[in-house]
Amino acid sequence: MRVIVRMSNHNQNKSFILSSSQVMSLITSTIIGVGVLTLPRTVTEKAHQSGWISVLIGGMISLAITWMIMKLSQRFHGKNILSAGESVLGSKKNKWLGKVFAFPIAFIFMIYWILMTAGVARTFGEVVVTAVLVKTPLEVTVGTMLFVAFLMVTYDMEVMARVNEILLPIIIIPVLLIAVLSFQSAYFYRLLPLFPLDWIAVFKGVLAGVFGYQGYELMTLIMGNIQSERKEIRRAAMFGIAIPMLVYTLIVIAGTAAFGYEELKNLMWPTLELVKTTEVPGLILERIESAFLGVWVAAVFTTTANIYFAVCYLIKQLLGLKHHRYVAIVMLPALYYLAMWPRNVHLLFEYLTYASYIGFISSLGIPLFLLVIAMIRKQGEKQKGGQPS
Amino acid sequence: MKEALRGRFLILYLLVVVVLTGCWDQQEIEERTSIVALALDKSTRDDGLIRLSAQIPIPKKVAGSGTNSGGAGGKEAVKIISSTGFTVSGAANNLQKRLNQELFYGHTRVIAISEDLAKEGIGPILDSLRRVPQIRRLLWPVVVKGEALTLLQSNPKLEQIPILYLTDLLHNNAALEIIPDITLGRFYSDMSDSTVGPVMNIIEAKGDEMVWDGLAVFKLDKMIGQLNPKEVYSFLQIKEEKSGGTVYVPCHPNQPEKMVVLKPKTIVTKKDFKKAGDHLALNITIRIEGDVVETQCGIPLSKQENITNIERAIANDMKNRAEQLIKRLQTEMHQDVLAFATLLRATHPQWWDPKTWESQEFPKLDVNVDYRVHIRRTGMEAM
Amino acid sequence: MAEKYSTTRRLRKWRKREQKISSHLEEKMQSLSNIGFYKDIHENIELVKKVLGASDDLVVREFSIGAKGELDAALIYIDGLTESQTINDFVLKSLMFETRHGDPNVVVPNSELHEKYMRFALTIGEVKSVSQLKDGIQAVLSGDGILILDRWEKVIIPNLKGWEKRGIQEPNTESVVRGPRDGFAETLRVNSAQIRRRLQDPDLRLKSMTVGKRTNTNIAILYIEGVANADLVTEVEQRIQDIEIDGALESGYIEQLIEDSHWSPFPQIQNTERPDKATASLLEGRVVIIVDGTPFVLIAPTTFTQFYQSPEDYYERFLIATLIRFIRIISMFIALLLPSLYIAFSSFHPEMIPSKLVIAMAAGRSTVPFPSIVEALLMEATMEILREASVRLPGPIGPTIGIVGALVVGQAAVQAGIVSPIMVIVVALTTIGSFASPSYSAAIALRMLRFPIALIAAIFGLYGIMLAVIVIVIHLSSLKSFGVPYLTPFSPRRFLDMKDSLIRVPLYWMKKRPIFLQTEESLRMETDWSRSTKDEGDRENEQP
Repeated sequence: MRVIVRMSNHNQNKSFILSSSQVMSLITSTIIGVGVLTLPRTVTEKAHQSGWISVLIGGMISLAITWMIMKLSQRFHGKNILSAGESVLGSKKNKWLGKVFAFPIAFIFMIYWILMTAGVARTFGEVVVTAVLVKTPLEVTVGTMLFVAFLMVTYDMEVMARVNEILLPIIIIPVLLIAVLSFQSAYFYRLLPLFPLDWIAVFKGVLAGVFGYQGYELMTLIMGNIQSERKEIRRAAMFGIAIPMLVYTLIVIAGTAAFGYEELKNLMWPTLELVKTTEVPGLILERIESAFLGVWVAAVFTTTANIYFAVCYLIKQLLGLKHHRYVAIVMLPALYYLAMWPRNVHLLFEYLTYASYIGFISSLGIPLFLLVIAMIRKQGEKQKGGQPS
Repeated sequence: MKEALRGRFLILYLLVVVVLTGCWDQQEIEERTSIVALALDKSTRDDGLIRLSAQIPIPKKVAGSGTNSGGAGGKEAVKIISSTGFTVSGAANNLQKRLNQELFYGHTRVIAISEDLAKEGIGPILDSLRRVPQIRRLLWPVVVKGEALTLLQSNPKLEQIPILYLTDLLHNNAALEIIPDITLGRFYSDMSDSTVGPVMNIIEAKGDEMVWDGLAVFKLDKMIGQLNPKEVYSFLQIKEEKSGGTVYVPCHPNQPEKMVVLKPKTIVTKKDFKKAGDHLALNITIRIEGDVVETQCGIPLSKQENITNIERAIANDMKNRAEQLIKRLQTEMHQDVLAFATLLRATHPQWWDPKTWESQEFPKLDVNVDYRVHIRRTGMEAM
Repeated sequence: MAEKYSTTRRLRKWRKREQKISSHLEEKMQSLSNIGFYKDIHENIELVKKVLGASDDLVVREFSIGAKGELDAALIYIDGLTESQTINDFVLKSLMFETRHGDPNVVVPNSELHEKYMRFALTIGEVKSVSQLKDGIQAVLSGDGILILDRWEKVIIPNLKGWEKRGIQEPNTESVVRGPRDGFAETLRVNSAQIRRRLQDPDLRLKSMTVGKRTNTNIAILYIEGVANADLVTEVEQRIQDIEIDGALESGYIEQLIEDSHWSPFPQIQNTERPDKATASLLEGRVVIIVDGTPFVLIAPTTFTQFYQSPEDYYERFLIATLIRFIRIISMFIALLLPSLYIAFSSFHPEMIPSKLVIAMAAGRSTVPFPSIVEALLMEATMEILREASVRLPGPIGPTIGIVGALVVGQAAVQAGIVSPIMVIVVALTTIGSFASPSYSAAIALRMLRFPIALIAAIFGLYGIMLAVIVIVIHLSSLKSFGVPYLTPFSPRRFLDMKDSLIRVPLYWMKKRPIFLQTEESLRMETDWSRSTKDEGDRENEQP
């Protein structure tokens, strides 16, 4: 595993390469965010007691998309979705053509990510204000989260990678613990009947399932900083999706078994209620939901900050700025305003759903589109004994 | 340079936040009025209002508190205060107006509902409880015979805070598998689930004693009936797959006054659905292993045939009890409290119809209960 | 003094306007730099006396060498810096006395004569000859003398250094239960000698430099050639050379002038008083900087693990060492977070505390008029004051006052109804926890940080604590020490380096040096001592 660590502070112009564990951490921690709290409900609404299967299928779809992105990255080393788009859609003679055609790509992702950041921050604020800090104004919770995310965004990608790497175990372990501990109140019969599978219901739930994995499209930005020709990196990306898949499936199973799908539909934040019903025997603390929420803050933070970073990085690249810091400062008030815009929680969910549609279509469609064109134009294929073009 | 800027940003933010905020959610622990138990009654003045009562511990009077050791406990350690209102939230609001600190439900352990109120329907009550995040799902809802307030006023003296006696009672007895463990969360789930009929523990406060008195059976959100402790015994075994505590049977049918007592230790329940003509049949096989803890018969237990006889006698007795319970549920109450429907839906979804279950299939369900009892040990005595 | 050198940092990347340190000094140095010694001895003596002024501790000893005393000589030195014994026996005696027995008739050309005296007659171990005046002045000031011979434009600098110094004692900031008890002293040579004794390696290199225009403090950089990364050594040298300051009194000055980030509360360069720790670092491939005048030597680069790793961990067996490391890590968290957690739980989330404890806590707090944050800050501040005060108190009174004071003050405060009893426990645990860290500078960082975290906890509760921790993580992630990320080996996660971080694996598993130091030579243990058949340690990747 080669990682470039410079002993002196000179020439930092070489772009930072992510290690495989960093790739995995980035993807996993971005995906695990707000979805943890709402996924059981959104999936169970449509797919009833087989919701967890929808989650699995959604995960596999995301895996397929990730694989596609990896393939694209293999053809265009060191280029992220924007620069790869420029290469694919442009020609060597006329660089501007590529830039023009690739602009819509960047634009869509930009919009989507801006909506996501604001939406996630707002959802976070809502949960906190509902369940934990009841009297704190929403503005403060949302604003603080955006501000801390902003702090991280002012640094380079290297720092983002490290922060995610450190926070990952803090996020995963408690969530897994909760999922497993909650089995103590689970009544597994509620998961049945399994077969014959009500495929229609499952498919209705798959969309909600895929929405839970939002965040993997961060790959499209990072793919410029990875050594995609190495198998470990590609495997790490797959792991990055597999882990949330496992976590989400467990949580949905736990939720369904503990409450039954009818009750689950009624709960605003099912995972939170799940935590509320869990008892950890012998622990000094009784209700662990506040502790769980504290840990969940880290999960939401990584999601918010990573996507915020992606926005700023993308804009920086688009406009050719020196550093994405400047974009971040400008975006902060815009994001805050956007986050505070929905009037109530239910409106927020509607908007998030719209944004998720955009996101899913773009992360499915754009890499596919680029890959197909690249294949047609035979770009980036390895020639015999030569360098990829 | 950018580091310095970032640092200053952070400090500025800190200053702003510290100076301008009101620390909104911060409330010192002694400034909260922690309610340990809530009681809901119909208002005595018969004006359609709900009366909400709360039991509040007084910190100073509880022993072990720093240098002002009270150690009194009991009635003097808590304050009981009531208020009325149209709804639960309304009553709580009125209650708040009479208290010096803000109400805090985080430590509420018991919610007592009077029988009258339960019979009228507790749906609206539960709705308000659901929306409050402070109420934990792990607390115990109980139906109280008579007025719920009596439960709060009862003082068994073994605990400093009286209601904790009840929580320990419910908790420990549930652990002993003698009482079903019905928490609020479980009750919610049962209410929403169309395959189960919800139940709730009944407690009666007789002066300073708290007595568990069976289960209340609910149809949707109204209480329609009650299962006595003997019936609950079968309930525990069939539905919860818990052992249910000691059971005594006459050793010999000719001597109904001489009893032998069995303490079950392990229980394995199997249920199986079959179709039989136009209705469904359910076979339940329960295997119990236990020890003999008392016998008045005088029969030596070292002889195998004696043991087998007793096992059979116990099995028969239990079988009768179970079948009586089921019959009562089918004909009298029409409530599938034993969660047969859940199992049916899980294993044979094609035979289950939510609309007709209660009215048709459930009453016609042909249930056959088969007990197998194994006596493993006879305690410290050899005979 | 702070203003003068704070603006001359960051010389590597960009220069801000440089302040002339002292134009007078500059001129003087300028004027001195090109002057050589004269041939005539009297002129030389006058020259030296003029530069150094008429200080009373400057001794000028004139004498004659040769069978008939035909050669004039003078020894100039500063009394107090030199060893009188050496002067008397080895310089004066050997030159005055022994040369008397030479053949008076031999006439040797002048330059040869002087060299001859240096080689034949002067029985001192270390001698140099210089021709520049400033070198001579430097020599006098640093404790050597200069020996001026008539009719020679060079002067001889014999090593006459000798002064009163503290003997080798146990370092009192870093005590261990098992391990050597000698510590560094204030003299550079003594310190480098202690390292040399432990590291009898021909590859051990020592490079000297001086820092400080007026103090001319000696600094030595030590590293093992072929083990330490060459770029690292160059960088360290470069940074030290870039220091422009008039005085460097302690290694702390050097540390602050060469560290990567001076805003960070976390130290990026380690300091230690223990030779075994310094030697161990050298073996790993780090660079050690010894500064004359202080027993604290610097070790670069360093990472977050310095907070809880101590050389003692390697002297005990691995199970015990691992356990003790866990205790240190836990106490680190306690020191940082306990007061904040108490505030968060009692004010924001009392539902998390078991019901019976809540009532006891409420009872304990019922007499306290302040909110818990004020209570916490009050007690913590008192604790810090007590701690600072007990450092200054002499002898056995110091620690006693610390303990007694804390107990008495705490108890009295509880009885007066100012704080609750639980608060006293929390504060006591926090203080004790902060002592468990083996590195003092690192522990200070934690001590400092718990105050803002407590403030945040008072506003936002547990959620605020989490955010504060995240902010700290962000900061730590961005920190680098000489190019090495501060949070290695947690991130970038080098699993193989982690075998020495949270836990300590048996010695025979630690065959390779830490990867993050990018040493030239990675294998440190050749013999395959492992008794098990599995050999995971060898499957690490090799360095390019």
